Amino acid sequence: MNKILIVSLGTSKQLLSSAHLMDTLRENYPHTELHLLIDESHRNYAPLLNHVSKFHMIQSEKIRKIVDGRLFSNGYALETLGENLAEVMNENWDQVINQSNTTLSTLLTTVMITENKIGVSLSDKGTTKHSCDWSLTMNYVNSSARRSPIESNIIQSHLIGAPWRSASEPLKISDEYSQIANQNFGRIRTMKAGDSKVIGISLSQGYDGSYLSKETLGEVISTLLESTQYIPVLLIDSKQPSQKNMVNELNLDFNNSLISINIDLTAFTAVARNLDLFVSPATDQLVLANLMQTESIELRNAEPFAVEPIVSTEHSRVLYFTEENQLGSDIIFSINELFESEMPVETMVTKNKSFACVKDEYGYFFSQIRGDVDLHSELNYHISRSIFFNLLGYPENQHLFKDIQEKCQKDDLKEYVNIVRSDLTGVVKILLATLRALKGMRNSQDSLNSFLGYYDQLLAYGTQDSIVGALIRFAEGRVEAIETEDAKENFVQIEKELFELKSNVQRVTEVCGYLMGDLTPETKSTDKTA
Amino acid sequence: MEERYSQYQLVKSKSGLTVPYIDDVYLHSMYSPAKEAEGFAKLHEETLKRKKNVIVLGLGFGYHVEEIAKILNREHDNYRILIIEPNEQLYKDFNEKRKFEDSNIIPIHTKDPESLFLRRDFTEFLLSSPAILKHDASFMLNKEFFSNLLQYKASTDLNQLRRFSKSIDTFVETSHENGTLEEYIESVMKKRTFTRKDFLTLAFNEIANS
Repeated sequence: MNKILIVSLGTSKQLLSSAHLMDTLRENYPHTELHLLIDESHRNYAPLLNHVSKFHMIQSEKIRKIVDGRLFSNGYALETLGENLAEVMNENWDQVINQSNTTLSTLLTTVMITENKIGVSLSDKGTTKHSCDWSLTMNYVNSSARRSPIESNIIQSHLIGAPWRSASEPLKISDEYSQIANQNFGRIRTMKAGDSKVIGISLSQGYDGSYLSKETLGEVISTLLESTQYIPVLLIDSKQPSQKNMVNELNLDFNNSLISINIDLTAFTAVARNLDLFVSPATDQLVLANLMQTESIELRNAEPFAVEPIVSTEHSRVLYFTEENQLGSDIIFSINELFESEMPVETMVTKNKSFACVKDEYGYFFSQIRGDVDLHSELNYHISRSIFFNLLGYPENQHLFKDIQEKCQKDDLKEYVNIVRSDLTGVVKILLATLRALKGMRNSQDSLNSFLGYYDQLLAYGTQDSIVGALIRFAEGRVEAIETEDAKENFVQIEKELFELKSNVQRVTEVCGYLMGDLTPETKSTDKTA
Repeated sequence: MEERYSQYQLVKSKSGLTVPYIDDVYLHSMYSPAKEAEGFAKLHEETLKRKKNVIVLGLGFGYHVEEIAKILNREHDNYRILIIEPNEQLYKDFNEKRKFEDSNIIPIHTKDPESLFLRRDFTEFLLSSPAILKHDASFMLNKEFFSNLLQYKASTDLNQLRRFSKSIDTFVETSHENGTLEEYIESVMKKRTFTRKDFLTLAFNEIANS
């Protein structure tokens, strides 16, 4: 029997997200045992995850307690970790997948016995090894980008060689809970005339600490109650007494007419399936709802894409808010849009930004639907997304440049292209100087310092949040991954990567040409179409 | 240890209950040990409501422990009491003459505090952050032993660590016997090439410091 180990030693969000990966693995390897290495503090999540043959757990909290206590010998801490890992370390795995991409998961992926380590692991020199360019994109490009050109979820799917797809059965749903939830929601749905939409509203606090204030909740609930089409249902965590108090306070304002459900994580999947929409900060519940493909509005108290959205279900929304007092209107606006209703929206002008999840041939992406558009940032995202998918073997998005030309004002586009071209000029100059210095090293060792100086300058451009910056970081990752111990061969490979970078930079120059109408996509010089 | 106690006797209290009399110290009240034990448990009631696991320093003749058990039984579904007693004769006599009926109460006899920390069950119990209650008469009688126990500090030397861990060789090169674990980890971090053991050591360090 083939066995795959998935190392998921990050946050609860990362662990729950592994359900999607396991669903894809199950489809691609139907007869393979899937083992999951997790932290013991996430034990409660185990019953939710489908397809797992066996869970292995690390008792991190216990180990830390032993190390921190003067009474306990660190020998006992080593013994605990040794026992936790004994079984997984003695197994010969067909694949080991570093799913959570943390330092710990990378170290432990490295020590496993397998010919096939997926994602990041370490060489015996301690340098990072990437199983493929997708892994490299995740760790060099996404990690420093203000907005990731490719969503981490999509990258994770490609790490195991599968394109992004909607999960079929990622989570376990208890039959008992399912039956009760179906009955209860069937009743709720018919409380108003006709077949109403049930809007689940979470009172939980998000990973970022944000939550729906009483004022915002009041505004959203009253608008939904006044409509003929919607029924709000408040979802409260039974372990959080403050949420119960909030419901009591709201019920005072709404004559005890509100429906609230006390819910724990195990029962949530059955509930999520019955919701037409789930409104929630970024929480474990939202991750589960998204895996159940329940359309959701994700609330993030941050600048757009400072953190990647959780939602990936088509039509779902992510609402990045900085102005709490406009949040209620933004939520109602999104609900109107999703279900084509016309509930009153208090203000049409908002400082918050809403994005819709849209499916396309690459997987999914986010398109802004409300709030001021930062054109430069939007163009950077869409163009770099197209370039990186192309770099990673996908066909180029032929319609993108035409769409941009059609939808953007010519002057705005010109201003954007001028900025990109200015970036390009600086980078090309340094890149050519780096290549010249590298070539010079064949004749003289003195060029080494010159090469290192230019290469450092080039990497400094890579810290910029721009298309060219992302390409430089990608090249940097490729250079870092060179493993040869032969100095000459090392420089040959660096040269190859720098020429590859030059060709990718040239691609950006061509894109600028398309955008300005100087070139047409048919006249392009390179195409990495798989 | 017996040599330390110049005098050891089991005597009857006025209420008829047995009271150990050691080195001029009665371990319980000579009038009513049961009432005294009730008072002892009552004094710690708030702590016992919060903690379901308790370590009692000093066995005496068990009356105070039984009263503690009554409260724990009332307040918690699963509770455990671990009693530490250094006097071997007292431990033997108690087990012969009374013994606890409640299987949640576990008396341990030892004269060496470190031997306790080498016991896995004791360490696991300590990790559950139990309440520690002193039986004052027993504590005063065995002050040195109990003080050593409470002030125990585990050694960080690698050769000492081996006493606590069979798995240590999975992490630490067998050639390293001197120095502390911290020093060993630092030396691994400075390496230019790494073995499987090194990566495991670094993983341990990552967990310990996260």
